[in-house]
Amino acid sequence: MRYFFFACLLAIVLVIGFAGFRGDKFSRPPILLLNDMNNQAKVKPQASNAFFADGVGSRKPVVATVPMGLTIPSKPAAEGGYVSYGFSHGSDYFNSGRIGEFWGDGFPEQVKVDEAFLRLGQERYNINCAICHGTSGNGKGITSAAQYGIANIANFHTPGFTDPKALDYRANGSIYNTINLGKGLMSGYGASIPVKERWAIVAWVRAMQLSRTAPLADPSVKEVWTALQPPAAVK
Amino acid sequence: MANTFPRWTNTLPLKLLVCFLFMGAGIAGGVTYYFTQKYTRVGYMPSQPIAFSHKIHAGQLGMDCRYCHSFVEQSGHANVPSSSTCWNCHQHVKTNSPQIALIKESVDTGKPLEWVKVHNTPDYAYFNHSVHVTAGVSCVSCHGKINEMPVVFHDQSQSMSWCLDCHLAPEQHLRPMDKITNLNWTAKSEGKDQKEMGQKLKDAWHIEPPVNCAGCHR
Repeated sequence: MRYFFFACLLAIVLVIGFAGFRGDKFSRPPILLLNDMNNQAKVKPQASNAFFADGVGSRKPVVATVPMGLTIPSKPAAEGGYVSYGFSHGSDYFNSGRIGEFWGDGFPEQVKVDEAFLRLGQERYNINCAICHGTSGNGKGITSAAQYGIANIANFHTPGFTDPKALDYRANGSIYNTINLGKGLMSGYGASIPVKERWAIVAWVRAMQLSRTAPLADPSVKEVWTALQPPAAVK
Repeated sequence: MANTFPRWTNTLPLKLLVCFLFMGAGIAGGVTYYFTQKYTRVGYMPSQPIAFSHKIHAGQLGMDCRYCHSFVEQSGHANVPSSSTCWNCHQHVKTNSPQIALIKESVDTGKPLEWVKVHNTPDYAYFNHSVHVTAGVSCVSCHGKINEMPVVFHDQSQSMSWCLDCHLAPEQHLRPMDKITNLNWTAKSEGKDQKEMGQKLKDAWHIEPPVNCAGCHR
C-alpha cells in the first residue's frame, strides 16, 4: 500500500513537472483538445489563404475600379447616396476637399457641424493626430522633436493658418486633403479615417484654433471660459 | 481444510477500493485542472516577427488602441494594422533599427508582416468586436492589461463559460464610452461601484446580451 501512495505522489510530481501550472507563459501553439471545426476552410479577415497565388486572404480592389465604401449606398452618389461610414473616392468637395482646381473652404453639405460632430472630431483627433500634433494642436505631441525627434510638425496655432489673407493659409479643403493623403513628412491617414470623420477632425482643428483667438469680450465666450476655470483654492 | 486464500487477502477489497478512489480523484482533478482553456490557452505568448511592445506604445506613449486597431468600432474583426500604419511614425523614429528595416521591407514590397494570432476564436463561434466595444465593454475585459505587456500573451481563458459569465451579468464589465480604451480605468478609481454603475449603463443602453446558442453559433 505504501508503494501505491509513493507511486501516486510520483505521478502527481511528474504531471506537474511536465504540464506545469495554469497561466504559465509558453510560445508553442496551444493544444486543441477537440479540433472539431475549429479551423474551417474559409477566407478569414487578414489571414493567409493558400487558394491565392500570393497567399494573402485579404484581396485588394481590382485595378481601375472605384471602391464604394464598406456598405453599398442605397442611392447613387449623384443623388446624395453617401453612406455615413465609408471611403468613397469621388471628385466632389466632400470627397476631395477641392472645388474645381482650388481648395474649398467651409464645410460640405454632407456634414452638419454641431456639438456631436465636434466631439467626434475631438475623439478622432486625439486618437489619430494628437501623438504628433499634441492634444492642443501646438505641434508638440509625444513624437515631436524634443522627445522622439520628428521635426517640423505643424502647429495649428501659427498665425497664417487661420488668416485667409495670409500666403500660408490652409483652407478646410486643404486640411482635409492633408488628413486624407498626407503632406510633406506626414503620411496620409485616408486608409484609417473614413470621409466623415476626416471632416470632423477638420472641424475640431478649427475649434482648437478658435479657442486661442476667441475674444473674451464676447459674452458667450466669457460664459464658457468662466465655466472652465478651476475653482478658487480654499484657504 | 487449508486456507485457499492467504490472510492478507482479507483487506484486499478495501485496499483496491482506496486505490481506485485515489486514482479516480487524481484523474478527475487532473482533467478539471488541465482540460480547460484556463490551462491550454492562458499564457500563450508566441514570438512575433517584430518585437513590438504594447507596453511602450500603448502604455508609455499613451497611444489610443484605435490608432492601430482602427476599425474595431465598425468591424467585427479588430484589424491588425498595416505596415504603413507603423510607417507613419517609424519613417522618422528609430529608423536605423533592424526591426524597423523589416517594416520598411514590408511597406516597399507590399508583402504583409506575418503576425501570429494570439486570441483565436473557433470558426464556429461568431464574435463581433464592434458590437462589444460600442456597447461599453472595454478591451481590458477580454484581453487583460495589454498596455503593460512587452509581449502580448493570452490573459483570459475566453472559453464559452467565460463568455456566458459576462453575457449573463454584463453589469460587471460595462463602463462609460469614453473609457473603453483606457485600460487602467476602473470604476473604483473614480470612487464608483462597478455593479451599480454597470446596472445603470445596462438599463440606459438596453444591453441585452444573447444567451441562446444562435447568438454566437450561427
